[in-house]
Amino acid sequence: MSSLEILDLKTHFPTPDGIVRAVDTITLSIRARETFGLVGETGCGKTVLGLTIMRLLPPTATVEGKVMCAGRNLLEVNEAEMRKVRGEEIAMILQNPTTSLNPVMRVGAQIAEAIQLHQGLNKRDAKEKAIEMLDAVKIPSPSGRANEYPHEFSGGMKQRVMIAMGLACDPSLIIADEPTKGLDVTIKAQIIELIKKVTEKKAMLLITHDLGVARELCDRIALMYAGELVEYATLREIFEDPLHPYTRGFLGSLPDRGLVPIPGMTPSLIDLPEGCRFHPRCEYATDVCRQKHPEMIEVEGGHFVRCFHARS
Amino acid sequence: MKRHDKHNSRVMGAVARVRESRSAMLGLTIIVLLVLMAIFAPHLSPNDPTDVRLGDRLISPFTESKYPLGTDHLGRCVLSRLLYGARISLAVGITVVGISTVIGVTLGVVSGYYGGISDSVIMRFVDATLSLPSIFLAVVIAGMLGRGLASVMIALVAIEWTSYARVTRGSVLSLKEKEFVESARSLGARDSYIMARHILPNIIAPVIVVATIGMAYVILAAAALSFLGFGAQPPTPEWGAMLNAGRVYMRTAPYLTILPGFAIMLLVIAFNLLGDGLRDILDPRRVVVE
Amino acid sequence: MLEVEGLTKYFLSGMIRKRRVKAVDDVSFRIEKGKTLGLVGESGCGKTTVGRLILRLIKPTGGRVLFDGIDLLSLKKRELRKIRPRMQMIFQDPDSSLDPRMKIGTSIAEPLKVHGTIPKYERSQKIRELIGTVGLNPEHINRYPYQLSGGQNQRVVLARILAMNPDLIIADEPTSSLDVSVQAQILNLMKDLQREFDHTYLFISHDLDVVRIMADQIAVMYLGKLVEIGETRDLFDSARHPYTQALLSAAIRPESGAEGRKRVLLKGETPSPIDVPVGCRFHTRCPRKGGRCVIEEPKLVEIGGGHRVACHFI
Repeated sequence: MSSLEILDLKTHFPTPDGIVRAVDTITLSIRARETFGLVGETGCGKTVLGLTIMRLLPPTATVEGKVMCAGRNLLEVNEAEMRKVRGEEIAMILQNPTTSLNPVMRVGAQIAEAIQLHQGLNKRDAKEKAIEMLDAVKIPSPSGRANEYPHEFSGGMKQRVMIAMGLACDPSLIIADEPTKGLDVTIKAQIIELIKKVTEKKAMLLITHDLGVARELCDRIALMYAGELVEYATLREIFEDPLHPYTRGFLGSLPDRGLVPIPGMTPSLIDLPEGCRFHPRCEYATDVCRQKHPEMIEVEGGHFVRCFHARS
Repeated sequence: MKRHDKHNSRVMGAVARVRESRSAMLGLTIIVLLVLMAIFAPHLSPNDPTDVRLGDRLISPFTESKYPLGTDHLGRCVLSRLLYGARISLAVGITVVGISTVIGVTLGVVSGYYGGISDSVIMRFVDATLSLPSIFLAVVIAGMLGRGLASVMIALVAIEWTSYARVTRGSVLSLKEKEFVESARSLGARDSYIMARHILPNIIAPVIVVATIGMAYVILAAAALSFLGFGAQPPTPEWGAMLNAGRVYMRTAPYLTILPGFAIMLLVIAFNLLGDGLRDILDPRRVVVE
Repeated sequence: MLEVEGLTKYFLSGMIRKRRVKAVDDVSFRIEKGKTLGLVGESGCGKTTVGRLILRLIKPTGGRVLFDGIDLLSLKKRELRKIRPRMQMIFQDPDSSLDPRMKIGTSIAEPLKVHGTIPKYERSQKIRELIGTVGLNPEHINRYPYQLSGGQNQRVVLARILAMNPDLIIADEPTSSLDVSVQAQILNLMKDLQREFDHTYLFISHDLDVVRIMADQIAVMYLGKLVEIGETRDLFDSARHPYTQALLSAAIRPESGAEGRKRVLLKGETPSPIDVPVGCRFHTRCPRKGGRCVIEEPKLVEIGGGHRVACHFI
C-alpha cells in the first residue's frame, strides 16, 4: 500500500526570462513505513517538489499532475481540508530550524499550538503533550526547556524541536528537507539516529544532497537532475549497481570514492539542453542523446533509469 | 547562457525594474514634469513673477486669461510665481541634499571603517542632532544666521547630513565583515583604496534611497522655514513664503494658500513615492527568480 | 615555512560583566613548504580564528607566528602590507568573497594593480592566462559574480590568489557551500595548483573525508585547543584521542553504510567557549573519562613520528 503517489507532476514558474521547469513530469510512490530518499544537487528542484506536495508554493507557480494521498488528489482538495492535511497527515521538517521557529514564542507553546490546532485539545493538555514530544526527541529536562525560547537552544536541539513539532500530530507521512544541514558531524550523527528511531513506523520522504545521510536512512533512493528523476531503485542497487551516468558521476565525485568530478555544471532550469538533459556532461553521450529525450524505463524489477544506454 | 546577455549590467536591470514599480514610476513622472516646468519657467510664465500691479489685485483663478491662476494681494501672477517657485524649491533641495550626502557619506565611511574614537565622536554628534526635533533645530540655526535662503540651506545641511552618516556607517559596518573586503586587505591594499573601490560602490544603493526621501523632507522644511519668515524674502516667489503671504486672505482668496500648498504637497509626495519604490528595487535581498 | 607557537586569542564577551572567551588557546604547529596541514574541528572550535590570526586579519592575544623566519606579529602596519600578498585566504562562501559590483576580470586584475607587479599593457594577457589556469573561459572576464555559479566564483577566487603568486594559502572550508560534484572539481584544481606552484596550504574544514584527501598532516581542534595532531595516515589508522575517534566514527559516509558498523555516539554538545570545563575540556562528553580528567588539563604529548595527543589515557 502506498502512502503517497505522485503522478506526472509538473511545477513550473513563469518568469520574465522564461519558464523555470523546477519539477518536470515526476512520477513516484512512497510506500507505507518506507523512507524514500530524493537526492540531488542545488537547483535540481527537489525542494520545490516537497513544497508542491504540501501546496506551499507561491501563487505564481503552475502545477499539473496528481498527488494522491488517502484516495484523493491533494492538488484538488480545498484550502480548509489542505490545512488539515498539513500536520495531521503530512508533516514537514524544514532545513534551517533557526528561522523556522518563532523567536519570541516559547518552544513548548509552539509545539502546543500545532497540537491545539489539529487535535482540539485544551491548552493544558496540549502543553503536556508538547512536553511529551520534547521527551520523545530526547531533549533533557523537557518540562523546563519547554518554557525556554528558541535562542536558548543550540542548532542540534532546535532541530530536535522541529522534529518534535513534525511528529506532534502523529502524521502518516513526513517530508524532511535536508534535516541535518549545517549541523556538526557529531550532532548530525545524533539527529540521524533520532530520525531513524522516530520514523520507524512512518513513511518519510527525505530530501537531501547528501548521499551519506540517504544511505543511513533510506530504503529506496531517487536521483533528481535538472527537474526530473533520472534513476530510482533500492538503496543497495543505487550504491552497488548504479546505471545512470549521473548517478555514477555523483558517486564518483564523493571524497571517499576517488573525488572524480563530473565535468561542466548543472543547467539552468530555464534553459534546459535538448534531448537528454545530462548529455552535455555525459561521457557516453551519442547522437540519440542529443536529439531525443529519454523516457524512464524499468531495467529490472523496481529499478528505473532514464538513459538510452542503460542496458548496454 | 542566453539569460546572462539579457541583463548585462545591474544598472540596466534597475532601470527596467523602475518601470515595473508603479509608484516609483508615478513619482518619477511628477518629478520630471516639475523639473521641466522649473527649467522652462521663463518661457512658460505668462507674466513676470515679481511684477506688482495694484490695479489687478486678488483676481480669482480661471476668470481672466491674462492670469490663468489669478493674482495675489499685490496683483502678481500666481501661476508665474508657482513656476518660478519650483526652481527655488528644487534648487534648495538639490543643493542641501548634495552637500549633506558628501559630508554624511564621508564621515559615515570613516566612522564605520575605522571605528574607535572617530566613530564615537561622529556618532555621538549624530545622535545628539537626531534626538532633537529637527525643525526646531533648523529654526534655531537659521535664526542665528539671519534671514535669507542661504542660512536656511546651511541650517538644513547641518541637520540633514546626520541621516546619511548613520545609513552609511551601518552599511559600512556590514560590508567590512564581508570576505571580499578582507581579501582586499590580505592582498595588501591601502585603506583609502579599499574605501574607494570596494566600500563606496556598494553603499550607493541605500544612500540613493535616503537621498530621495531626504529631498522630500528638505523641500518641505525649506518651505516651512520660509513660511515662518526665515528663508526666502519678498519678493522672491518661494512656495512657503507664498503660503505665508496668502494666509491673511484665507477667507476671501483661499486659492492663495491652496495652490502653493498643493504644489509643495505634490513635490513632496512625488519624492516619497520614488524613494519608497527605489527602496524596494535596490533592496539586495530582492532576488530575481532564475 | 610556517611555524605557529602558542597562538592564543581571547575575546571579551558580555555587556556588563565582561568575560573572557578563549577562542584559541595555546595552539602550536608547523607546516613545511609545499605541504598541507588539515585543521579539523566542529563549529565554534576556533579553527577559523586560527586562520585569521595567522594572516593577522585579527590581532592575537599571545604567541608567535613565524612565516619563512619572519615574526609576523612584530611587523609594523607597513611591513605587514608588503608581506601580505605572500599569504592568501580562500573563504567558505565564494559569492561574498568577490565584490558584487566588480567584473570578474577587474577582480582578478586587482592584485596586479595594487602591487604594480605587471605593466598595464601586459595585464589583460595575464588575466587571460590566469583564467585559463583555473579552467574558466575568457568570456567570463566581463561577467559579474552573480552571473556565475558558486563553483565558478571559487575558481575566480583562486585565479585572483594566483595573480599574487603567494607561498601560503589558508583555505577556510573552501568547498563546504558547493555541491559534491563541483567540490571534486575545486579540490582537484587546488591539488593541481599546489603541485605546480609549490603552495603551502592550511586547509580548514569540518569534513574529515575531504581533509584526508587534501592533507599531509591533520590537527584536530576542540574548544580552542589542539587535542591531536599527526600524519594523515597515523591519524586515520590509529587515532588516539577519544574526540578524534568519535569524529571518525560519526562521519556519515556513503561507503560505510548503516549495516554492521559501530558508531561512538558522543553524548551532549560542545560546551560554550565562555564556560570551558575545568581539567580536560573534553571530559563532559568523553566516553573514557577518569578522575584525573576533571582536575588536570592534559598536555599535548609526543607519541612518536610527530604524532601528538592531549589525553591522560595514552
